Amino acid sequence: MSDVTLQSALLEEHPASGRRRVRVRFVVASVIVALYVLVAIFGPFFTHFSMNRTDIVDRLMPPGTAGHLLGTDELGRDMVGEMIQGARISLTIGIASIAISLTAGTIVGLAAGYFGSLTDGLLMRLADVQLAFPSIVLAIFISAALGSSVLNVVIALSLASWVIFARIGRAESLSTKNRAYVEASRLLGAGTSRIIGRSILPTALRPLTIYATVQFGFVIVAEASLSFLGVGLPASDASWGTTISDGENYLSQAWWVSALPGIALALLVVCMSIIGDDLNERRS
Amino acid sequence: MTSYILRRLVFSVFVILAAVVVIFIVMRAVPGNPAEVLLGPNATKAQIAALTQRLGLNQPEIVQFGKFFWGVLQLNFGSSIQFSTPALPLATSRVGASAELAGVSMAGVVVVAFIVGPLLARIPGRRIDRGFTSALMFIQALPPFWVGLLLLLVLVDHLGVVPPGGKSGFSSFIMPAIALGFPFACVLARLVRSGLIEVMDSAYIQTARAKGMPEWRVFWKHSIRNMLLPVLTVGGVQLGLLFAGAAVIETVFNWPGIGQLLINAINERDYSVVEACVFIFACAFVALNFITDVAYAYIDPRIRVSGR
Repeated sequence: MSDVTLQSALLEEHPASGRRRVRVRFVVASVIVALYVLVAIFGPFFTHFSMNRTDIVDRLMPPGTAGHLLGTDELGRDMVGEMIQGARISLTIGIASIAISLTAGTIVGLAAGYFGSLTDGLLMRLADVQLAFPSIVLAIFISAALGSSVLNVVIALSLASWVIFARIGRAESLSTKNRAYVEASRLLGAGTSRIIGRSILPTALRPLTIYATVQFGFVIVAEASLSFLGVGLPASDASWGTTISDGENYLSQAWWVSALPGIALALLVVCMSIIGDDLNERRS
Repeated sequence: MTSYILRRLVFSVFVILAAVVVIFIVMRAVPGNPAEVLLGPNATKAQIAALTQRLGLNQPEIVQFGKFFWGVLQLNFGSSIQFSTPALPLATSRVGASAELAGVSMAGVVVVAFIVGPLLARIPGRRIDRGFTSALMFIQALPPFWVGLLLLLVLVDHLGVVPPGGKSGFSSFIMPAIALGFPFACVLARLVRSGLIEVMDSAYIQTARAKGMPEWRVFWKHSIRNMLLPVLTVGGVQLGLLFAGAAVIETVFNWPGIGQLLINAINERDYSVVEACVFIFACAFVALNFITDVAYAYIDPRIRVSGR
């Protein structure tokens, strides 16, 4: 329950801000997210960055040094390249985990709501058991058990976030399954999968997408947290979390190593939450 | 009400038992032989075989599960490899520090939310209100562990006003409490704000005003009180999330709580301690959910009847 409550609190309606203002905010946030995606896809072709190419002479150079726009880290690696690599990893993990948990959660939720009785009881008790674990603790736990790798982090984060989608899917399914048009489709002889896929899913998609946007923010912060704690990605991957963690030891001499990837992460999460928030506002 | 509480209680116990099953399954997902992992790369075959035997890893899964479950029922998770003491008492001994931190943080969250929220609710839609509300949303999205590092950078390295980590006097609470609580302060401030705006429009507030009651009294006596209960129930859930957030924040500030123990145990592959810590997190979370549900039911009688 708790996570869902928090989610609804996060999506709580707020101010009587004007329509135009919402649009501007929304557009700016979407453009920024689009830029992240473009940089993550095409950036590495321009920076030729490699985690293995170190340069001890140029270590811990401040931002603005010639050739290193955002400075270098403790092993002399260019921060721009490292952060672009981080964007790649964050977005990949975020998109993969959300895709998996959204698909699985939606299927489980819609089925539970549609079939009701025993199926519903079983699936939702499973969800309840999972909600006994705070999602970040569950992600840490699973990730630690499986070992550090991109795939394992994706598994851990998907397992930690499918329940929210299942709950939304179930609620939507419950409220639409007895509507007239669903009934009509059933009378016309549509099979179960067709009814769920064509009549119930479309209504559920909207709230599901909104929560997916919010959950995306949670997932990439969780990945960074896991990597920061050393239970996410191996240190050889330039995740924002591992970079922040590396920079922790040089905080007083070279603040940028930790600060910059954090800003990149924060900006992305803020934009995602603005998008989710505005989508939600438009819906209500 | 009593039957509702009983039902929820039985359900909570069931959930915790099921959580134990989940812990067992996840721990068996550890790739390879845990005995090998524990002993490291230099272990001989004989050592591995001995430890496999001692940990009971050569028995069928179902027997292992039975033993594990029976152990848990007796609150026995085995011994910590690192500290050679029973794992569960070790984990529970760290709960206090985490709870203290969560408590201090929660107190701060409530104070901030009940100052910022009402102030903004008095000027809904104005530029300051819109600016602050957007700022709250912005701040809420910042990654907590990173904010923790920034606090270290500014308060310790540049100003030197607080100790860099560990638990000592009150000043040692400041940074971890902020890093832990700021997202919730933002959520709660926004809830208080929107709740108050809604309440302020209602008829009984107009009545109070019409009676000639001064504005501050209307505000503090009628508006705040009426929106306090839903906010408090959300607060209950958040206390659980604060406790969970400690898993990350405690590592940043070297706080001697259960979160730090968990991460440390994971890095040292001290599996029985990991299991005990996760078990405690699950129990705390379930307990808080239970309290929140009962509080909800107490406030809203419809929940009791429908029974969910």
